[in-house]
Amino acid sequence: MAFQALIVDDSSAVRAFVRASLEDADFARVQEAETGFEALRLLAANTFDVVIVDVNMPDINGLELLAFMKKSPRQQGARKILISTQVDGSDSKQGAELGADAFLKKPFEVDELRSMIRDLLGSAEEVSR
Amino acid sequence: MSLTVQKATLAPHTDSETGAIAVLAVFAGDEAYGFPLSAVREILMPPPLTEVPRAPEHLLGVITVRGQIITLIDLPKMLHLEVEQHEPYGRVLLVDNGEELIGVAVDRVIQVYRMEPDQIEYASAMGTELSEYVVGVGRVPSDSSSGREDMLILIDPVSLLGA
Amino acid sequence: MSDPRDNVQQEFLAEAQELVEALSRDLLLLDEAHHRNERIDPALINEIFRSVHTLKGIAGMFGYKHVGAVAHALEDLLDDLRLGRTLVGPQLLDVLFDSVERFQRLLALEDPQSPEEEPGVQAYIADIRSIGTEPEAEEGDPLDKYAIEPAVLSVLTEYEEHRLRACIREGLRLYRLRAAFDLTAIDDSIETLRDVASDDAEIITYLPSMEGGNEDTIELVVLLASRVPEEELKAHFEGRYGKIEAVQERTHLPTLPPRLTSIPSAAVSRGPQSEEDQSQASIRSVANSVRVDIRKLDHLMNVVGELALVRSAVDRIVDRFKGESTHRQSLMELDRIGRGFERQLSELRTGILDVRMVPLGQVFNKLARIVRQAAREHDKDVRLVVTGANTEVDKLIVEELTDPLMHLVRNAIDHGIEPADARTRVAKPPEGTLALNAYHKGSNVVIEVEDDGGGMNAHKLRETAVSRGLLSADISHELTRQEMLNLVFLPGLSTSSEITDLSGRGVGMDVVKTNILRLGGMISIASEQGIGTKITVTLPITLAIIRALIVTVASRTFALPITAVREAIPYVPEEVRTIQGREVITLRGETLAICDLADLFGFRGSSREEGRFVVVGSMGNRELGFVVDGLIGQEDVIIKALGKSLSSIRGFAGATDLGDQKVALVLDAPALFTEYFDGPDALRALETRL
Repeated sequence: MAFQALIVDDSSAVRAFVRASLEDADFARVQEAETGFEALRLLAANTFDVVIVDVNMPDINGLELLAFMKKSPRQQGARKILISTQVDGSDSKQGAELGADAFLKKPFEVDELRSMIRDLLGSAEEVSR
Repeated sequence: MSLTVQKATLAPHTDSETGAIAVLAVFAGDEAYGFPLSAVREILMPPPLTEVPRAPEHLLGVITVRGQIITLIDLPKMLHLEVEQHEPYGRVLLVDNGEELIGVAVDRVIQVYRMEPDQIEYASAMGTELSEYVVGVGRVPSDSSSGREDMLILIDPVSLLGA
Repeated sequence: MSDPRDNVQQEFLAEAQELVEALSRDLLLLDEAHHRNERIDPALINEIFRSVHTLKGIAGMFGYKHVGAVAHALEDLLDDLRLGRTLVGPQLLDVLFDSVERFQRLLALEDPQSPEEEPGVQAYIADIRSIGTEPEAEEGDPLDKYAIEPAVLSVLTEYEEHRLRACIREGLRLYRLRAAFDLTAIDDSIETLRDVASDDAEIITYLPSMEGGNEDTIELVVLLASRVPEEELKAHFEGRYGKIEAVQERTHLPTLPPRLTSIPSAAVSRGPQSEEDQSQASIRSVANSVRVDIRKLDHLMNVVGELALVRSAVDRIVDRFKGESTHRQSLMELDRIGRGFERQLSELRTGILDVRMVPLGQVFNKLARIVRQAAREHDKDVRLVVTGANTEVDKLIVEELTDPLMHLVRNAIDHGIEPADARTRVAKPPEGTLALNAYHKGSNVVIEVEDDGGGMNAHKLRETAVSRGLLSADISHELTRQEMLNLVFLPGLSTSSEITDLSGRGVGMDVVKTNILRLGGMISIASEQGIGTKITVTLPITLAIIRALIVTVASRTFALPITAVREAIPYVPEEVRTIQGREVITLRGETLAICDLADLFGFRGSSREEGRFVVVGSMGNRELGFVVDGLIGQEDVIIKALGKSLSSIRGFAGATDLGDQKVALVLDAPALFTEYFDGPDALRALETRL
């Protein structure tokens, strides 16, 4: 069954790319948020299996959203992927402390994203068993 | 021996597993043609035609379908075949060439065939000069009783772009 | 019909284009602030950084290698800039301005990976990297002053942290505003908060908290820095928003958590003092807008046309029953409903046309860049004054307008505005002024390009025209001053004897004129020597709907855009004479060349009887009579493009659906004029007119 995903990124091209990658072959149902505020609205009302967040956004950045999800009872089951353009470990470290499950470096490929999600959801099932 | 480059193709319309293709067969000027069914959007009674002065002979003019302006082409003329199409023609096929809708004037619609790969002989193999528009020739049983075969000239819809 | 990836590719190109446009706009603001020695708004620099940063990210994902490489180098430079490690200066501005055209060119490449671009890109990147950084003066961490929780610091990006330090260093105090927001209206509320804050405070970041929130509301902790006394700030925010409190200053030295991040990031509202409300509005409007493929709007317009057909079909039925007393009540009701339908339909049509409208400011921003660049190349001081940037026109027109206007602006700086010393000699201010004005006038948009330069020399224009054989000496002496000025639009004539890099580029005023005419517009020129030149371009607001004269030729229906029609007169075969192989008639004492559309289009069997008409067309200062069989009347028609195969056929601008499945071809008047006059004997045609 298709899982529920949320992509939070201020770039419409990235959102479209993620949507096209994941909705292909009914892999996922994707909702989009352009801003942190929009994301907050969606996170308050929906339960997601995977939330993909760009670290670098105006007003409410990806780290702040991670911190929010960490505290939100509704999103305890969500797997969180942090997107950034940097390779060095510092944002991974900061993100990991805030509960990110995986890190995706921009630019990324369709397959990279899909296999990452497959791995994450696989481990989620193990946990719940 | 001259090699003909195979330009026209039906690849986007074939079943990815079996290679089979659904073809709409039509008559135009005493010749039978086949269009991939998935590219045919609609079959219409011919709407009034507005000719476009200075256009090449195979472009009959424009028609309007639900407010959209559509170019109507004469298939035999486009293929430089020496046959006159019956006037008035009986039907218009609206064919999606991937970028816009094109109207194709035909005499009548025959039926839809499901063709297996071995029923198609490719133009490149036949060495004809038509490969720009024509994919090849498809063989279909003419009448269930007689056992004879009819030939369909298979058209690549994309080639109708800028025809 | 198409691969979903293709749409994504389109999405990329559209967004990349928007980012480059935003970059260009913001660079102009930066340049202006720098030029005037004003404080540079940190939010502006951050906006520039963000555009480049986003472009870098998406270019990588869509295989635009060169765009990505250039954006990457610029991003590093801009990151230094926003973190205070380098300063705004002429070299930095030049490098940044260069990037705009470079990005546009690289985005337009057929092969975005093309190895041919490699050397140019590498050289440019080396330029970017050559701009050095200046070490920040360290004088202890100003953050030490405040007791900020590690939990807060851990979610700040490097940039937010930098702004926090910078604000404290500038003597601002830190405040925490705690407020609950309705989730459905949060964007608007934040927008208002930003407006309220902008005068008094810089917003560092918004932290979502879990306390006091539920499905409908969320509590945000907003970290602010402000100079305004606490009491005043309280009066300002409390009541409207939640509680505001000063962040406690420390009494002893803290031990800060180790720096966790080096993520270049962004945030923050437009800071205080941002005076350019208009540019802010446009940046915001991008966030609140959707991009629509223009073909989708065309489709909606088709549907509107269909609805109009339905309506007229209903009317015909109503007509059929009129006079039958039994249904009177129902018919009256139906009639009323029909009129209501008509109103809504026209509302819908107006609405769709409105969506196609974009502000001319989009073009003006590009022009501002040209002004800056051209002025620098020529070492001239030019002040640009823009009015009416909000004037809206059809998107298609905006696209077609850029090149001609660019050329006019270049000409104004190249040939119009004098060097500073020459200006001083004639008691003009050393700084030249170039004005771009746009405004609505009836159903037209008027755009003026006006300079206070040397003006045009009408007599020199006339001499040049004669010496190039474009005009016979005899005729030239009968020209009025205005007619002499209009010679500048003749093909093959340029005002300056030397062709410079600016006015050259192969485009002359004749091409500008052709382009404007093609849009259904007009161009006129006014110039006084020593005072300046004003070029006025008048355009229809929208291309999609035009008013047309419907005519018949050999039983076929054609539409002639009314903008090209001056009048229609009866055709009297006896009055036709032939001069140099062309048919002419005399109209009010003037010779008018005529052209039988039936002959031109090769229709046989058109009636040569009386009862035909001459439609007098006028394009600029040329006139030509089109002979037609009948006049049907004027009508507003929606003009639609001909399909790909027919688009190259000369003489037709498109087609229009007249209802009842009837189509009329719309004549391309400029093309017909050009065909008739600019054949091999164009010169003779010109003399015929004169």
